[in-house]
Amino acid sequence: MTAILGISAFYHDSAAALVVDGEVRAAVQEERLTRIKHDAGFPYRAIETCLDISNVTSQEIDFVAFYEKPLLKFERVLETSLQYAPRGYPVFTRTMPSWVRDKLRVRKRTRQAVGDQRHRRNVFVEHHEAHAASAFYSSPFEEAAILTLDGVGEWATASIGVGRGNRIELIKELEFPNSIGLLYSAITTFCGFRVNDGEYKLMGLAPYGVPRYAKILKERVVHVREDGSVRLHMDFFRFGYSMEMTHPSFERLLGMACRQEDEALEQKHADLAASIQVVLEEVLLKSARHARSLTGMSRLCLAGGVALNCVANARLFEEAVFEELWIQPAAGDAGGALGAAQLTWFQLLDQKRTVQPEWSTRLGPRFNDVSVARELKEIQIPYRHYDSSIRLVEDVSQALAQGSVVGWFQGAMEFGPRALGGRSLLADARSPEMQVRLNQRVKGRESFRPFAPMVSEKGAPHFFEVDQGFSSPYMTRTVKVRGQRESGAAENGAVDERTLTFAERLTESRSDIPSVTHVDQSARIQTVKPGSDKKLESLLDAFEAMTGVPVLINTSFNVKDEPIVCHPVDAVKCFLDSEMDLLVIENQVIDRAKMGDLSAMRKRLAQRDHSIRKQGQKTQRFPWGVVAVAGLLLAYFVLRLVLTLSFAKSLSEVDLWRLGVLSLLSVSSMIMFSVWPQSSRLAQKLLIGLLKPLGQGLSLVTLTLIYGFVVVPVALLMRMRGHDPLGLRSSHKDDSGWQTRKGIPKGRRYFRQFR
Amino acid sequence: MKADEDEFRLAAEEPEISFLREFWEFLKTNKRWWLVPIIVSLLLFMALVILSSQAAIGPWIYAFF
Repeated sequence: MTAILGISAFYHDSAAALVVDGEVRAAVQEERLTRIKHDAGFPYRAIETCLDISNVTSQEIDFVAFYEKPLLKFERVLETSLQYAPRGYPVFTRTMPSWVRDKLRVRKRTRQAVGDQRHRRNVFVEHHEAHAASAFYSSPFEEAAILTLDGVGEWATASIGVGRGNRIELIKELEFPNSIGLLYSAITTFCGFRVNDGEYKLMGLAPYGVPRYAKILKERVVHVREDGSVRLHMDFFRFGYSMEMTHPSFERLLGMACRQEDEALEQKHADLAASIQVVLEEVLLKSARHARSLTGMSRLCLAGGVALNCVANARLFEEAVFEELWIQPAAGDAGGALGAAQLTWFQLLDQKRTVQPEWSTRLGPRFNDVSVARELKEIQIPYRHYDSSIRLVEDVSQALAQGSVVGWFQGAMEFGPRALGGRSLLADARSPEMQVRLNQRVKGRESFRPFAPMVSEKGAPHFFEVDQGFSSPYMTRTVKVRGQRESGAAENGAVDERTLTFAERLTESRSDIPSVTHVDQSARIQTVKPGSDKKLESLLDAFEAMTGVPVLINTSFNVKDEPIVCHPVDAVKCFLDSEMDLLVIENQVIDRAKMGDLSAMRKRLAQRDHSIRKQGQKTQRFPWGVVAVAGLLLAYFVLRLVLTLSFAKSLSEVDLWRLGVLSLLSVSSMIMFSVWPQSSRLAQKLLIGLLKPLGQGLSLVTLTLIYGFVVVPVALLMRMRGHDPLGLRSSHKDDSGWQTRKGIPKGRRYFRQFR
Repeated sequence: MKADEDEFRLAAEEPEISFLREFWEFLKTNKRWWLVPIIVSLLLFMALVILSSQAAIGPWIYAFF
């Protein structure tokens, strides 16, 4: 057996994936377990969960594949500091502590997570290679072109490659700072959304606007070449040397101020969102055409954060640049963990690849009826157990038809940003008010944000402009929703959208399924294939039998700023904190109407969390290290006392007091830490709490000295010699930004953290 | 192609490269010598951070030294 653990960490959406003899046994995002959205920490819990799911011990792991080459990325970070010195001081002092603490110590963190084994080796795969691998090896294609686009990896911001059999090869790449992903993120922050989180919101906002800024963006801000490569005009951006992404000159150019998070959204923000969407689609289409001409392939695999833009993906399908297209559902950085592990197995270990026709994102933990019932009993929540799934599905579909919002928790958790029926919130798509109700009262998010439909594969052509046999199981693209079948409002042109205000357009009914029909008549569709998820399929069938509509709203099971729920107790907490009506966990149903006192329930959950935390503290190891240091200090004080008395024969009163107090402190600490081990943790917390600001101050002073006395002189010296690492001074009229990949990592170089 | 896989398998048998050696190899390969002073000073800073984050030393380091 060969077990390969894939890891992505330290930027956003940390994750782990476990591949055993080529089979993806598990993949989990850290955020789902720590409950910190987009958690960027090392994925200790995700690793543990992957091992549990796969029934593999940490000793059995043969390779740990990391989704990046940290030293190559570090090189880019340092070169960027040199390019912008002395302006880059804030970024340097802010980012360096995390580099020295974590990002350069992947091997150490791995050892902490899975222990040390003589036979085990760490493998480092390049960021875009990991994206490419996650797209190609999971695809149903024997051979295909590969296109990856995201913010930035090490140096690369996009890449084009080829996959054949069990091998992938990236042939071209675009380098930092020229990145369509970074441009999109910059405008995301400009519109008042958070980077790595608000991109979906910007995409959802776009159809409310007209792309009146697209021309100026393309003329002044980004140069888009015919081959899809881009060149950013860096005068408008600050991300190279500041924690902010855009420069004030960008505000002047557009004649609008950067929106703060709490400010109201206006038409101009929607127009800007529409404009950047147009630019992004143009880049994606041109890059895909270039990939086709370079590779001669008829199929394309797509990955990287930009591939999560399902509206742009839809254009790629519509324009038919490739005959077939496959998009990795976990296209963001989490998917890099999967790709790194897959690449190690197929390419580096040269193992045969058998193409799988179907890919499943359901790679996370699952909970059976027994464990769910035990959890629910423990927190004393009233529930009803169904012996028959048929009866359960009938009751749930009836509740949905009556307007209930249902938390649907079934089987294994999804890997990637989309809930596809494992951890979903379901509701009636026919209800015109449901979008506003779900957004504001259940999920607590912006009212303009659209919801996605879940539809049976056979029913899809009746409600969406797609052919029979159309399949979109991962919500990676949008399609057009058919107009209203009976009232025919769309055909009659009863309402001119342009005359409506921003708020009025939200509630305007455009189809038979208004809650999943976006303002541009589109929907991010999920089709449910027969046999793929029997319970879900029967739910859609039962709902269709009752209402004539096999379509439900399917949104992720979470509330604003929370990750999707993972554990049944997370689901109960989310249920209590929102206005959901029904919670279905496997065959257990919790009905809000029959709940009684909710505050008592919340209290019990809080007590449960508290006792788990206490239990965790009890199981901590004996603090040998702290006791040993206290002992050494005591020995030092005693020795010093003896030596002083032996040679100087006397001690000043101050010295005597000082040594006495310090010795007493050491002795009392040793006794206290030995008798009551938890006190060492308390003492540590107290000292760290008091002295952390001092430590941070020292760290800042040290980094300031390094920046002032090392980075700035080196930067000035190199600048005088014409050093231009980001190519900002070179001509803007290059024929292509795509560069042929140099120093392609081979064989043993995968064990290095650089190319 | 085959040679790559063989090289990978052979290299997998070798002991893991040390942290400082890897930095040296990185500089030697990429020939970005101008980064040497920055990397050296950051490695010293790293040593300080690691020392102060050790569980046993952490609580004492600021108080006594």
